[in-house]
Amino acid sequence: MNIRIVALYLVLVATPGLGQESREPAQSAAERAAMLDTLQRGKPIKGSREQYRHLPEVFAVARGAKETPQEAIARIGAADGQLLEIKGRLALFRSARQKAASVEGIGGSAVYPVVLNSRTGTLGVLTGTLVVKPKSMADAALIANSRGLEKGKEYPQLQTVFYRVKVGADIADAAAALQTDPRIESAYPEIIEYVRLPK
Amino acid sequence: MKTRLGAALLIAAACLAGCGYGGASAPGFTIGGTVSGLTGTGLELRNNGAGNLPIGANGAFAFAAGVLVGSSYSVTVFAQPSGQTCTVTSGSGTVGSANVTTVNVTCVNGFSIATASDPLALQQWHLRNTGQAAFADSGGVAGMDINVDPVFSGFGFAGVGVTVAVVDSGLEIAHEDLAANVVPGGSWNFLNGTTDPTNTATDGDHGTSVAGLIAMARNSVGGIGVAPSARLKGFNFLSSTQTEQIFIDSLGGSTANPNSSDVFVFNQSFGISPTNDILIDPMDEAQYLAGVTSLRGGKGALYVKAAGNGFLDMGVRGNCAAANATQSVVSGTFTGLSCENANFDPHNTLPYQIVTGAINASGVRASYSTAGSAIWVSAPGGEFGRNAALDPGFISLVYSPAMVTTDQSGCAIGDSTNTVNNGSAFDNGGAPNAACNYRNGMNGTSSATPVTVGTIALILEANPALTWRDVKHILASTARQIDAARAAVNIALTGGIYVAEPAWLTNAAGFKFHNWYGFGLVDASAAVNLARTYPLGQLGTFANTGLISSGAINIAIPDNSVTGSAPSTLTVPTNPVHVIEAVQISVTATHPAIGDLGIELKSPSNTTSVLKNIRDGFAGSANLSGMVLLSNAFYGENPAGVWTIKVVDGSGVNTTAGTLTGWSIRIYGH
Repeated sequence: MNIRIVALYLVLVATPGLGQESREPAQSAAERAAMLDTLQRGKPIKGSREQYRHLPEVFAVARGAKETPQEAIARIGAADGQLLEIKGRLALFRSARQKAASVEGIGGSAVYPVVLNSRTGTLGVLTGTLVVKPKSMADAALIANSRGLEKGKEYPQLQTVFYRVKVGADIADAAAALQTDPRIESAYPEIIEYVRLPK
Repeated sequence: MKTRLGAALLIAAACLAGCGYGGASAPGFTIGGTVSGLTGTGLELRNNGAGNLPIGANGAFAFAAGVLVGSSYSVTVFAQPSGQTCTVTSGSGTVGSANVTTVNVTCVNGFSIATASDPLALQQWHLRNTGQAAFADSGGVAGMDINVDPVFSGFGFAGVGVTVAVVDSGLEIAHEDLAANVVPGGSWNFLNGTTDPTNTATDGDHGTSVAGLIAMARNSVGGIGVAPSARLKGFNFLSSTQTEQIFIDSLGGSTANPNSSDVFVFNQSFGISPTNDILIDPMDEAQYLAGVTSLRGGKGALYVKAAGNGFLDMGVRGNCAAANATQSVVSGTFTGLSCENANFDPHNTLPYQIVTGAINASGVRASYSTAGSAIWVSAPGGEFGRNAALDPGFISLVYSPAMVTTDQSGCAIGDSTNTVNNGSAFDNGGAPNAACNYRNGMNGTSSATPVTVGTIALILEANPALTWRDVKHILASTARQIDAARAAVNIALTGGIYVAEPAWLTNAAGFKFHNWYGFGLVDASAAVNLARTYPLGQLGTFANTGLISSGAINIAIPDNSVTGSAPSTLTVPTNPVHVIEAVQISVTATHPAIGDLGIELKSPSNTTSVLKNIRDGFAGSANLSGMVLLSNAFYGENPAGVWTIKVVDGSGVNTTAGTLTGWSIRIYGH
């Protein structure tokens, strides 16, 4: 726990939970639920244990070390974006435009698609990484080649390979394709739904 | 008896001819062995309480007086050498048919906090609590510490040879009080791909403060860590985007760039505070399992984790039930029920973790420390360490000690600066912190976690052969019961009084447990002493029962009723687990305000544990969908037999009844 005295009163009275999984603009549960209802729903996406829906008008961008969320959003040309939530370094915002569930490169920065947990109503960020357990680790490269994926790091002790979906490619489609691949035991897109904070 | 005498005569006769007595005047056989590590003067040994033997140098020794066959011997240190502490191992037994040469005397340069040259050590109450104020306004209660001084002075253990990872926001590897212990090139910065995770933030680095509590060096500056010679690695996981790969790479799953696979103990002073039930990511669970299975040459790494800081409230989106939302360290209102439960963070529900709660300098739960049955032990985390003159208006608790530890170096950055009011003279760069390299306001279960990690480093130095389960067992077996008179929290519901938070219990295996403290306050001296003589292999093979499920049951949970749901039972077979190490349950229920619900579980030995208290931070969420909860309260019991779950609606915010639709149980143990 790491608090500064200037924030002590607020921390202890208004927001005494000294570590949150995410922070967002002040908003009641009802207001948040109403806001979520206004968001367009896109493709369904199966995660590791939950079901999600893509939100085509919601995106995330990673903040620089000393950058505010608004500055990060403006940096990628979305200055009119409405900040919805902050998950650690990631600023989630609503934009006037809609896009497929693909990672986009803008000005050297990655812009990530966002999904909604259908059960809990929590927002999650699709990183463009797929977490895959091949039936045989020897197939790791072949799977990448046949699916148009970039093979990332292998973890033999976990019988797991990480793949990157190429920029512009639809993550939901890539994950769905792997989930029916007979060479694969399990596959799901990485979704950052909760970030750990100091406790 | 005749046989033994006969044999002794034969052996003695034979030895007259050839094997000697170790001295012409000594009947029987000599007792001796080897002295090592001796640098001081004045060491004297005794055998069977007599026959002082001065020792002047390392090497072999033997008492002149012999001991008869079949007689016992017991070698002890009669006088310690100057500036050192010597201990005897293999020092007792029964004389057989030869001279005894296996007694080991090991001498180390012991030290004491009381005489440490590190100037802040005397204010580090968690090491040696004398009632000092630790640069706050008031002190705590003498003796409420981790009892580590006997480990330092008696054994000289300091965490030598033990590598610890601070998985956190960063690690200032060049800090004057940490640099000596940092593994060169062993850390990792996930933001720039280098081995320097020094945080570029200017408003403090949580990881650097955590690291100090583990391993501030004995170097005549600053303070000292619980394990002041442990080796440190830093992985700035919290400052990263926290992808799954970074998680795995930080917690033992990577052998290069970074190498986390050589880490003995992982410090996890972090967590999440969800306001609805969430399920653990299967990859996270798989990595923890891999870590305890394969690291440390198969003995398993130790994963130590913060319970959380949500006892009073859970923050912006926290929906602590109204009846429990009045708690405040400002007004001094406390209901005794935790808003956050340690089981909310799914990582805390794994048996591979050592979940740590925090106590303050008075030896009771720190005001913020999240409670729950997933807690294993407690350790000092402190309160707020403020000075009323600089930060008036709070209750006295705020002006009691926090933790004295490292801060980002210099007065321009960090939690201690001389540019703004940080709430204490010490943190404002006052003496003896003019260089602002330290702070006195660190607290949280973030602080209790590294204190536990440091203790484990001492345990592993004392006995490197221990497995991760041995270490957990030692901590549980030696933890000190504190706040023993703490009464249960009773809430009036329809039909009677409901025990919403039980008092200390003693389970059927004799372990004392409390949801605020786990098995109690870490006792480093008791733990190290047990570690030194611990019989390896006593815990057997780790196994679990698999999930034993109720199927659909649909049992009503009446609103605001002490009766709760009608009991639902599951039967655990006699195999494969005979001794419990952890119990997990998975619960599915419908209710519009899950925070109303309390969940308790009764073992076949009639131990009852509350795994989720009523009126908690799930008040704004509906339904449980297979939420996993863990209890350590049944540790050591036999799991075979009937387990009973009961769900009580504590009427926090909602007047609707609910339904327990199903549950399952899994027992871990041996």
